[in-house]
Amino acid sequence: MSPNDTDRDRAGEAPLFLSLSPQERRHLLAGASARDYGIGETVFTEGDPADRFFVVLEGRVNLFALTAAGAQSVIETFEPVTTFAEAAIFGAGIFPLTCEAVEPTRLLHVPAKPFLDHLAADPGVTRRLLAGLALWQAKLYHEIATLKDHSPAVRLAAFLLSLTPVTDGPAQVHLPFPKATLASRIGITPESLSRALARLKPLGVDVQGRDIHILDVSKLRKDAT
Amino acid sequence: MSDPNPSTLDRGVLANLQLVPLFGGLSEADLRAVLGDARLVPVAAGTDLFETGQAIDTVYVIVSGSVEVAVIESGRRCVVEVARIGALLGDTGLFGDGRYPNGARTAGAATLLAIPAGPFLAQILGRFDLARRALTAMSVRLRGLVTRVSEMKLKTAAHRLGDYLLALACTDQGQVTLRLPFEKRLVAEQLGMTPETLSRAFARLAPLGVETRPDGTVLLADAGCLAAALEDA
Repeated sequence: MSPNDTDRDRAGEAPLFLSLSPQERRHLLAGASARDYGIGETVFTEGDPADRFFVVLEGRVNLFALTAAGAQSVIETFEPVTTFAEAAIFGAGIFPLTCEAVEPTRLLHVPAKPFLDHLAADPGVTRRLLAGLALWQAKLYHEIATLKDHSPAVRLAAFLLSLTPVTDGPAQVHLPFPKATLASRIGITPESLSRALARLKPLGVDVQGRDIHILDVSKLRKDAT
Repeated sequence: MSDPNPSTLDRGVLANLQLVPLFGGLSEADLRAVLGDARLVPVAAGTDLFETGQAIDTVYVIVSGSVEVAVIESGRRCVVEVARIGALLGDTGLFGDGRYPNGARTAGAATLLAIPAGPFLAQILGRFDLARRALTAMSVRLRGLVTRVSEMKLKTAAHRLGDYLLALACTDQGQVTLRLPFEKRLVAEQLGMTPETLSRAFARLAPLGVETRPDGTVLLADAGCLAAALEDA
């Protein structure tokens, strides 16, 4: 199946492509094709020749190794929009792990040879791919710093405050998504979210379903962040 | 940086560099070409190698010792990684705006290979086999970071500490005595937690047979039991 424009636009959001110009991106992904996978469907198997890499457009895949006992040991999980298995095409040329869709998933397949030929012909493009990865590293470093520095309650308060334009006095906030999504958005488990909400209660944060009342925005900002 | 003490790159150092993913498997001639006028420099503890935003003039390989990689977050310095022997430092910004995107400071005394950045970049971009290695090395490094971020999000501090100890033990069976590779403050940095959280994490692993000894070693009474408990957590 050939990718539609939406697929290509989405793929362009992957960190690897961040520093490329739109034309370069189009050129590099010219031979790519999109494919849908059902739950549990295999994308590739350990030892297969790495003749392509992938961009997760929708859904989720697991990369895993099989243990001696035949059990799956999940090494990595990839969600939209990220590339995966590109290290295999740059490097060894075989897939070192097995990959399977864990939900209904749409992947962009990027054939290795034209991609590598294009890079070999244009060191500028290679440099911009490396620059994209460098930006991604910087982003991950900051994410680590934030995760390390702040308790779940602080991160939750910062997120709630970001949802309101109010800077002083009371504010009413409606969560744009369910609480489970909120938990994953600020990087905590649903259990930690309940605890974090409980901790913010004495600071004037009252939760009714997805409606959240903040007694005093400036006070919360001062006390919790 | 302290006064560099140039020294020639002997075979021993070159062999060490095989540990660096970017250089692994390169012939000695290729390696010398890539390293150009690289010098081996001893660096005292607590020395800033570079700071966020400085123009990149040198990239470093850690030959001995360890280096704290830090970013500025909300105006404060925050260590995000403790790099060890074989790590390449300061290279990422080369491909973008030419500035160090983070800072680096030696944790203890260290020996570093200081590689002039300009010729290094020219070599990598001028040879597609090296550019491919750089892409591979960077992808693999980022995978590691992505995994760390998801672990920080999903796993408790005790769980992360348990995983870390089992990785150090290199086995998930029987009784193991191991030595932490860094002092506890750096172990905490590496695991993305405060020293206080690390102490609490050790306390929570105590019922699973993890014991810290006064001599700085850690005893795992039964690695298999610890691994199983973490698996079920």
